[in-house]
Amino acid sequence: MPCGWSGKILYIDLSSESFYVEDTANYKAFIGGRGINQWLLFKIMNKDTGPLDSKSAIILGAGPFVGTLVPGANRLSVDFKNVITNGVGSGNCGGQFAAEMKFAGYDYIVIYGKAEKPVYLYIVNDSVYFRDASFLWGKDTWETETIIKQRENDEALKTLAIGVGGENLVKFSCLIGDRGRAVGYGGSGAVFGSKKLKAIAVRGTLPVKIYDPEGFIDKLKDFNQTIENSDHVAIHREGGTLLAYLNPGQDRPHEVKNMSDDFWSNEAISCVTRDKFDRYLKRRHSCFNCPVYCSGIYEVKGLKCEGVQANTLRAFGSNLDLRSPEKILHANALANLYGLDVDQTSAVISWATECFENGIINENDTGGIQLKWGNGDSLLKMIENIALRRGFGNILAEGVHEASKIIGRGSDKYAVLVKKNSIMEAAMRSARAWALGVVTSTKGAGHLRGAPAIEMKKISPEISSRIFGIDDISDPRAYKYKAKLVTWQEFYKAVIDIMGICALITMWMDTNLYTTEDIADFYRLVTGEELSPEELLTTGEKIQNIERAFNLLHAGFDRKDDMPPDKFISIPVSDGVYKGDKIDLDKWNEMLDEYYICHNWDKISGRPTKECLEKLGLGEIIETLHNNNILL
Amino acid sequence: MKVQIIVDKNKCVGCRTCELACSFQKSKDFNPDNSNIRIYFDDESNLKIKVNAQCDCMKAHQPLCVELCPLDAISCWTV
Repeated sequence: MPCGWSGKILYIDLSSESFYVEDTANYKAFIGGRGINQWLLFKIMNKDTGPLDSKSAIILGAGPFVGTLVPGANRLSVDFKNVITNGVGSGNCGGQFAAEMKFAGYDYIVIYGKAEKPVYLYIVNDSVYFRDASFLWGKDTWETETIIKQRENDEALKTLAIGVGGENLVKFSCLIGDRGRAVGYGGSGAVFGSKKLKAIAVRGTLPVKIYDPEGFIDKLKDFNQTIENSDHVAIHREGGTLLAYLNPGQDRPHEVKNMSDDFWSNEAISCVTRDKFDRYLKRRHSCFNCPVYCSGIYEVKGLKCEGVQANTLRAFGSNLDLRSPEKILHANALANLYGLDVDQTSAVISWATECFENGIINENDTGGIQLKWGNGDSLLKMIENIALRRGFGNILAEGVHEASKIIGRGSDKYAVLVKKNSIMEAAMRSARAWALGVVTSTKGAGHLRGAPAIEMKKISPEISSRIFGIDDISDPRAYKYKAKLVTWQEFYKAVIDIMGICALITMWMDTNLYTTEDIADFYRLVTGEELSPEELLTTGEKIQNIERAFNLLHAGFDRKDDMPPDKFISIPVSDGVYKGDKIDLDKWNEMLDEYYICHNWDKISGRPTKECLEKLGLGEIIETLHNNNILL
Repeated sequence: MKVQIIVDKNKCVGCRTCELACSFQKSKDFNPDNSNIRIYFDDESNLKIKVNAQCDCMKAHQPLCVELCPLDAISCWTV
């Protein structure tokens, strides 16, 4: 058995209820996690195969660090064809599932085909069981795990499940791991639902070996000291991402009322601070082997959920101008139980609310539901209607892009989209690298590719120069140098996802955590393979290019799809320290030019160049694009 | 020399670092199934902690599970 990797890829055909395995080592050039996932996806998926077709594949991947004591290495990468954009579908969750998969002997599980009737998979080491899941259809994600544990008489198994949202093919439904960890963005839940796959339960009893145990433990203890010394870690331990996010109050940019503003007042924020959620907190909770333990188990109105994170607050708080901790938490619980992506659920409801407030739709459209800013009861009703595809919820279940076409009446004016995907991010008008990273994200508008949170941490020029090779990134509003920072972050984030580390405890937010040297050290000690920090980043670049090519091939995305929505260009921040901020389109285009140059992509089209792909050893991609009449 | 391990349920957040540490101390690899401490999550997501009555991991210093627990939730003494 290799060190670090479990060594096997498990392929499961739901149509024939059969499976086979392949050696992970066949794909070593892409290392692991999101890297191998994306390469397999590119090879498997035909351009003409729709995301919900039976031939479509969805790939679960755990990197070489997962299942070891490398701190925070617990992430499960899930990659597939995006249900909303047709391009890259990609999500990533913490929790327990990825490690258990490794203990069962698998680095990857590739699922394709379609079951005749609802099934769940029960995987125990070498055994794969196809179980009837008819009795689970209609159950929420929490119940699903509970029932599977009871039926298999196995309290140690871990689950990845869909709720009613995925069953009903809601386009932004997601997978929920371990009852509370969401694989957000892209509609992974709908992909499972289309295959009649309710859940995967996995249980492993096999070891994950490492190459140099003594050297590893020395490195681990040393790195743990860095973690203990981090202020960033300390605040997340104290109150999770919500405390860290809201700490500056109104002096940080927010996302407000369907992304119409970045200013949310201290008066509003005082209603939803971290401590206001404490009365619902049952206990603090951690993902597998995480030294930050930023999560919690909450109970509201008899419903349990994991949370409450900064994303929850942005999605169901500021973006809907809702100031009730109970309603925000309740909405989060419903999203978890129905298996809906919190961000995209908020996006479509906030878009509909803006349409309602401006008279484009009314009670006749919504079935009597008053979609007003700050109306928590309407929010809860609409979440349920979306999951069940009931009434107006059936339209919203298509996502903002499709729903605005169905409604018409100029409703697209309020759609805040990039690559057909809704943007749900703070600071789009004030932080240039952040905005560029969000907009160019291969998964369709989001902060988990090239958007560097470090841009807002006032890094000194000395540190910036030493780490990023960039003179100064301390002013978020400045456009200069930001394309280079985004490019670095993209490659680095790909490395993080390849290894399976949680982004929260990396250089994304704290330059002392998981430097590329740290990752190279752990990689050598875990696997016995040598890769320099530069070689690691080149592997990250390779993954970024695979995704860019996938988007070009499957969705036709290029430069025209790397533009910010009009709201960020035409509506400035209304108040506070960022008052007046917005995106300058000319400067954006200059920054975008520089971004393409940093990647060695074509400046006019934004497409990868032949030279770039050849240099990265991706000649097969050039051939595939050529065969589909895309000439670089 | 045997060691008695106690996990403080009020401090534990269920990260299961102890499971990895224990199995590593035994066999230099990672396998929760081989750990003397097991953490489960029940139907209500409460923690259920199982500890083998006595371990034999005390060598030169304290057990690795005690050393690596980020919450200092594990204590031990020799018996």
